[in-house]
Amino acid sequence: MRKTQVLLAGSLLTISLAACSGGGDGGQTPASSAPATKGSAPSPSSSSAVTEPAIASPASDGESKTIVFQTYQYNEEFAAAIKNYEALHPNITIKLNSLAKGEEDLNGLGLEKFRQTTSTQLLAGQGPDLIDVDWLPTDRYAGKNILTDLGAAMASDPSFHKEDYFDNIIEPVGSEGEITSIPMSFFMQTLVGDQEAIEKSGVSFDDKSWNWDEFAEAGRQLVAKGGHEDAYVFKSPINLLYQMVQANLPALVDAERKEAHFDSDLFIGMLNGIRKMEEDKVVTFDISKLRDGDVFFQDLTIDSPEGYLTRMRDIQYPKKKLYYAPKADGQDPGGYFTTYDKLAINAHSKVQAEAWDFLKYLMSDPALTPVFGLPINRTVYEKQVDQLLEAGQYTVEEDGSGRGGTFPVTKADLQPLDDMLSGAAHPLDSLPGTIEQALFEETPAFFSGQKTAETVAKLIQNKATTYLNE
Amino acid sequence: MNRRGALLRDGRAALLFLAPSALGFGLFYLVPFGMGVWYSFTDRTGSGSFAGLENYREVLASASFRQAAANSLLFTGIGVPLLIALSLLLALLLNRSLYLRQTLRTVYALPLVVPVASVALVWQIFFDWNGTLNAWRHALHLGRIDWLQSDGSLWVLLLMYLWKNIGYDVILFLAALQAIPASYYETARIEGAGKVRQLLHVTLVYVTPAMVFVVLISVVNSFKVFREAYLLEGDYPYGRIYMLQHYMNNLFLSLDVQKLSAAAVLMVGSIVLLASFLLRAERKFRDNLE
Repeated sequence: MRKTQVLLAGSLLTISLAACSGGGDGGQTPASSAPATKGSAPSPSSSSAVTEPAIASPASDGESKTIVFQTYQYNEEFAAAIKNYEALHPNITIKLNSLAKGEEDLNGLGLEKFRQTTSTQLLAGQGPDLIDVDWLPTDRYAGKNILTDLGAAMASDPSFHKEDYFDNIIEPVGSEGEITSIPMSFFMQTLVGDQEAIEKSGVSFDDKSWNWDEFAEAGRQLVAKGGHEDAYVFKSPINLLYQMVQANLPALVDAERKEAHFDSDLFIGMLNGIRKMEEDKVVTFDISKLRDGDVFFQDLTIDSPEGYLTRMRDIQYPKKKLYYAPKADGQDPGGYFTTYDKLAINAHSKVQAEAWDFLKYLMSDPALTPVFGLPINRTVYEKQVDQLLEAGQYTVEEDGSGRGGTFPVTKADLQPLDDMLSGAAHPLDSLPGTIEQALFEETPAFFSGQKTAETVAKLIQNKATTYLNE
Repeated sequence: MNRRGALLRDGRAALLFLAPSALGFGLFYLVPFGMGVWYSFTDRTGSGSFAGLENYREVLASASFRQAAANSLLFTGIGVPLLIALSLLLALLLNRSLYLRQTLRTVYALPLVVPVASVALVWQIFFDWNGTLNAWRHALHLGRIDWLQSDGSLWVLLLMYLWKNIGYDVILFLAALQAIPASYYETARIEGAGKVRQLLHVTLVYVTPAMVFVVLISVVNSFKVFREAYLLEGDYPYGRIYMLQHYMNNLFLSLDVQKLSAAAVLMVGSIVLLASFLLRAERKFRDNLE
């Protein structure tokens, strides 16, 4: 056990050494990588499959290797990164498989094909080495040794510095403490409140830890004090329910133990809670209120520092403040986020060490900024912020609404965003397709008053249980 | 001896005539099924290695499989006897001189030629939560019933199964009934047998060989009811009408070929057991008759 660990560390050192000799991305140059070459080279395949990640396979310098990288859509950033990486590592070729550049998959056939072929290959122990699993049914891969545990790779790779990343975003992904994929970027889900109206009302609450009941109570009090007619606005009851379910997914769906808990008080409480909140004018589904800003709270999705400034500007409160979205009972304090471009390494890949090195490069190169979302790399984010502050201003494109122009920005403007990012704690994971479908099919009958919450919960529970136990 | 030689010659000719069909059967059923059996013992599709009974253990451990098997068994257990009884009854009625006999015979056979997809749509409109039947109940101030999302969904499916298959079974029974020589009944009458006795000791006895065939076909058709269930409620229907084929279909969509094959082998095994039991019973019966 220990010996293998040493060997693992050693081999990873060799990889990082190879990386340094190729391009020299600074950092440390380990003095000895001796253990990797010492004595018998145990094959990491079958014997160590249970406890050790297969990434332990030693990297052979100089030998040319090909990494197959599979994504659904063409990604400009990835293509550029591949070019740079190949220049730094002449012995590595990276083959990017995806839809063609600029190709639009309007009828979804490309996605279907991507899912089918990639899943078939993965389940057959073949296929691409590095995979963008955003569109794959990863819940069905659990316990089948299909994706490598990247947590072990991160922990044992001395050239990987956790503190450079938003590790609160990486941590919670994956089940049983495993990290089977790492997102390249993420979006923060928060609330924006009408600070002036809230302060004037004198209603106090702790948004860092509030659950839906406390949020509803605060909302009731705010509405009673006046200022706005409703406390919160959302697209539709089902969308609100969906987001609540996402936020509580671990409590509702236990894929490992094949249990669903949609017949629980938690889920029934969500259904009844949404109706009660609508009755109490805590939440309204009248979207025009959003346009007029006639609510105390509204949602905000943050995708970049500049996007944050622009969206905040659009909101028509005299003074605005970021708040954490409400949580389920007993959930730890912190904010919600969604992840994007989750990359995983095939557990049966023959070039795992190389794939990990490239993945690390994708995560760490400061020249790479994701097209969508906030970068997983904290230093890249800080660079974005620095650039904004250096310029001292940001520009909003004129779109005919008269909101365009150039506006000043100071460090203080971005401080709330900073705090919010550090407080991110709960991923809004996507639901397994079948359960999502059941949710969207069964709940309208509740919201239209035709069925009781218990009946609807039982129906969803019935289907989810069938799905999980297949 | 002579008879045996003739049989042998016949056998060769039969083989020749069977060849095209046997080739197709082998290529499209037997070989794929053989491969499926092999897959059911491996751990991965393609380059998988032998995994023993692991897949079978997993399939049997799956609560959804057990539920699907129980549902299929329940459906067949209720549906087949019900179908046999009803179609025999109808056949007996239609076998007498009856007003509109010809028309009625045609009417019963009609569901056979109507495509399932279009029928399923009509049934759906009828039984849906917001469907016709509930509209009627609502008009009569009775509460709505969620026909397809409750244990009652099994009865909806049974109704569809009966409707679809009764015509075929009636035709088979009619043929068998007409093959019984009228002299048997005459003899029975002369010997003083009443209507009931004639039914039990002449009709039922001579219809039994056909009955075995009808039961077999009905069992096979009861497994085919998945089509109707799928068209009604999609791949995840209410738990009560979640059949074995739903299970296998969903495994196929999630590409779990090994478990799918194991489930298929288990199902085929059960059907073969049932069929051979029925055929053996029939042979025994026929021997007794002679």
